[in-house]
Amino acid sequence: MNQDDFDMDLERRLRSIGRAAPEAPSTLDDVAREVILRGRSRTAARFDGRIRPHALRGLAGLAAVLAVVALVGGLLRTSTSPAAQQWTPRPDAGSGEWTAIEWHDVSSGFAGMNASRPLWTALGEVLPIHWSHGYALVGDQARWWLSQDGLDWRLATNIPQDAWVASVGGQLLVLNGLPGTGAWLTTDGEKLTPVAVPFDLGRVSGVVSGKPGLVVTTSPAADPSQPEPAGPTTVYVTRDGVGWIRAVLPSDLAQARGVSVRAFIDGFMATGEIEDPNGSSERTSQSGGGPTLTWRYSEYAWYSPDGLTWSKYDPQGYSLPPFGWAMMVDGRLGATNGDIHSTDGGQSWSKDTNAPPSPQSPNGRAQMVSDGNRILYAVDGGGRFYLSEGDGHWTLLNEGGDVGNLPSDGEMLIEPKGILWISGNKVYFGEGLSGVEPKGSIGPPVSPSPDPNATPTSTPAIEATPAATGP
Amino acid sequence: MIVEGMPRVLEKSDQATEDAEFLALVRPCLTGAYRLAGFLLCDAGEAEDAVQDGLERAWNAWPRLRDRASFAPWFDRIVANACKDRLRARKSVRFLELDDDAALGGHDPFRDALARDEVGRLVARLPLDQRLVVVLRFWRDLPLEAIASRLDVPLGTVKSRLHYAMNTLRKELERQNGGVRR
Repeated sequence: MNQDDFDMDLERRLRSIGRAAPEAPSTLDDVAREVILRGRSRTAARFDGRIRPHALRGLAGLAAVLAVVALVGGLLRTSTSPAAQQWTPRPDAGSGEWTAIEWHDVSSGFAGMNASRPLWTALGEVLPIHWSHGYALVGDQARWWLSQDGLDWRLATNIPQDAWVASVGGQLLVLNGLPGTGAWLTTDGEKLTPVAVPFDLGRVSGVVSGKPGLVVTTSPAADPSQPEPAGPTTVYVTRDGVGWIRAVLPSDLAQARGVSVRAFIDGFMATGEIEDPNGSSERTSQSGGGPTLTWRYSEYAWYSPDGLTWSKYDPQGYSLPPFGWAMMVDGRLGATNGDIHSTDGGQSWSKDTNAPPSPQSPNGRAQMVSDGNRILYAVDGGGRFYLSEGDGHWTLLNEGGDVGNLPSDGEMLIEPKGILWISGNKVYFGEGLSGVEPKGSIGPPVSPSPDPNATPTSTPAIEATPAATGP
Repeated sequence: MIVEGMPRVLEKSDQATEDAEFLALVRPCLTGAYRLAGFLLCDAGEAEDAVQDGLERAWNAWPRLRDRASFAPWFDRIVANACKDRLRARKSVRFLELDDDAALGGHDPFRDALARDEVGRLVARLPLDQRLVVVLRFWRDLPLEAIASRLDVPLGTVKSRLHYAMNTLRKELERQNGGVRR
């Protein structure tokens, strides 16, 4: 068989396999209707009401990777490793707010990390894992990796796969509810010291580090036959991983189901569902041919400055669904979708004065990131970058550099001294310049070099036009 | 402003009309999405779950889909991403089961379809991104441009992935069959 015949035969065999695929089961049509009837929700609850903690943890882990990789960029300036020497910071970058960015190729510093893998896009909040001994990130197969300088990564062989890991009091707290259960503190990522915790490790549903300390939420096991999510939730707070306080929750939060806690501005935001016969959302469940059960609920948000005292979150000026506020963990300045901002710690919200325009090109997937100090908004696949300090005003940044063009499919991350733009295994660093003209020039974004390992984006573009319900 | 993954407040519109439109658009897509998920996950049960994930995600994001004429590729993309979530959650890809003779005796229609031809076994071992392109190209009969649109990647990336995938299949088959004349 010659090459052409061989290829034709291969294609024929491929198509033949596809023809053997089954039709969709009729239950999916039922699911479609049930999904609509149940209403929109934030959680990952199943059709039958089950919660999928593993999936949520996976997303959180991926998000942690995003944040840690962002932090790595900050170290590129000071490291003495050979990888870091590929790029030298400008001596005259300026110390004020950025007015321009200058792009450089820093891929060599990420070579051992295989950046394209951890940067696989996923929904989830950003959870930076940074402690006194360096950085931690979760990689493929939910294994943890450690680095002292953010450049040389090693597998954390002593940290259990799939464990919860978070920073507290300068250490890493490791919680493992899977086989080999335990809780440990570590200052170097190698030696794990067991610590006692007042909760059932198998019931941990969330671990969040914030400015006031670390919050752990636990939930009872869900009943797959019931539509309501597991609950009520308990909340524990620690500032050192050793001493724990169980938060006394307000009655409504104490009774809420499916509680999720995230860092929010200087404290924490919790969202949860409360049974409400008049609520606009509902879950249904049917198992074993039994009757369809319905659980109707309303969703609420609560804020806590310290993890211990909580109250309903009811800001002035703008209204978002509770889960909308919770998603603002990204922007501790209050960046939600670039259209509203808060300058008083989230008590009130106002419309931005000159929100950046929508993308102009088909490939111009918009991205927005924040590190709590500034918000970056990229449009047109890296064609334009806008900066805001969270005051509602946006500035178009000048661009220069020595990389020619950026790949249009890059993922943007922000770090203290610049922006990371990552496409496959290529990593570009856009050094932030203040009052300084960038050297060189940069052309329009281009389609990336073929990369068989690159992955597509995970979520569809979302039109983010808030509807004000306040003044 | 369009920003991926950011929340948005929407005014309630005519709910009944919205529901009906969503159902009318999603129903014709279910079999295609199910097959896509099935060949990516090699498991009919998981494929059903992944489509359910996709339905939930799509319904949540539905008010923010501006171009409703592009619903089908949009929904495919959501389901493909739901499959990726599931594959990552598995910790390790399970496709090696296809090499297990005992597993081949099972009644999963996707595993059976893949296992009936050595080509299917090889496809199941391809990296996910390449497998995704193969599934869309040969088992959904989509042109490369449509695949690029569904995956939100440049056309060149699709071509590259397909090239790598076909090369892998070709080389492995050549190895097994003793080579071909060039």
